[in-house]
Amino acid sequence: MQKRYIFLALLFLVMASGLLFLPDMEKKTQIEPSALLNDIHSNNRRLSTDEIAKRIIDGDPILFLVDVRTEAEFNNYSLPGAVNIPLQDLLNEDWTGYVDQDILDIIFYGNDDILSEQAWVLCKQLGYQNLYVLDGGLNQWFATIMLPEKPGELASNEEFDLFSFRTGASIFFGSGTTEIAVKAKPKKEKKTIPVRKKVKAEAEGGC
Amino acid sequence: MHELLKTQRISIAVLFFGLILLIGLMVNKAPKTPFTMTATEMLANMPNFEHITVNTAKNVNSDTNNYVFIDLRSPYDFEVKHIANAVNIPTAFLLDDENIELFTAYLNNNTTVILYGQAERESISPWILLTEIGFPNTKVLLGGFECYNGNKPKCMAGSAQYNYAKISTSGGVKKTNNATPAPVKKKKVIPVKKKVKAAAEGGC
Repeated sequence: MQKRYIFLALLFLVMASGLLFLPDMEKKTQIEPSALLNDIHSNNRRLSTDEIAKRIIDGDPILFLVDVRTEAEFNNYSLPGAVNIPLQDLLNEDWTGYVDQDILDIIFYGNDDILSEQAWVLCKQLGYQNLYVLDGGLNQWFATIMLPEKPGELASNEEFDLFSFRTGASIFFGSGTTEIAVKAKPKKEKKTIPVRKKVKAEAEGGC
Repeated sequence: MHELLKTQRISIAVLFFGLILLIGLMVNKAPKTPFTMTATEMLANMPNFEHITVNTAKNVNSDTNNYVFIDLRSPYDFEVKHIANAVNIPTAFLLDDENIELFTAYLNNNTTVILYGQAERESISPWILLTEIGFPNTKVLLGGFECYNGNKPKCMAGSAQYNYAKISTSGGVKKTNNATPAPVKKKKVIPVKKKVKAAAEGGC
């Protein structure tokens, strides 16, 4: 009995001491390839220009726009409130604090989807959270929000509602569309109000 | 009696301990295809990749020994139309065992793998994923299938299609297009009706 007792205790000790020599677990930040593939396959990351426009106009406090184009392109034009992190600098330690967090919704955008997709997949691989991509990038932004196209005569009510939203948004973001611009600067022509001359009746012969 | 209880307790503890270790080992499987490259390394390497333009792709299409096209779209889209000699592997199945074997075979054979989806953006993430798990022979078809197929007149993926700054400050391309003088509205002249008073008639 005593022997068995000692043996078990020793076995327990050996196993416990084995824990001490476990290899240092790598801090699990990277996700696994199969998990990344699932995220790639899903389309949830793509947010439409309309949704982003609405969130900018509403002043959404957790919206964090990241412009991944070059600095020159960013200076030429960028979305209001966007931060410029050129793709090549994205994983620098200076930016880690901005990109690796769990409060803000990060929306990557470039001229189209190419750069933002690269930024998205690299950050996703590192296990960062709340990452999104502006669907279609700035080209889509200009095609829909800045220069909205008027729906055809037979379009549904939803399309007209969307169009009126986009028209309003285009004014908000500083590009008037045709109609708006024309309305904004009407050529003022003096309205000549024809003055009716009262033709006084000639004195008529009284009684 | 007291000693016997202690032994029992310890054997139970050992049993549990072993069980936990076993479960841990079973659950914590290493991925079959781990990343061989970190995101930072990939990012640093990106400018070195020379992707395949549509023209190059058309030239090398018949060279099946050195180039293979992988169609990432759904089997239905593939069935409708696809690049000649392409292999259909929808994005979701990229990491299946048989496909990994296929990619390994291509790698060993020094075959360049050209990925394409409907648009270029669909092949970006798969390209990064495959490169990072150890297939550096993977490339992207610039412009995707829509450019190869000629459905899209402008194949300038990645570039700005509008003059952003100009539009956002000056009020829109459409406006300048419509700069032709708007039809001048004719002034509506409201004819003043002169009241023609009847000439003074003789009184009463």
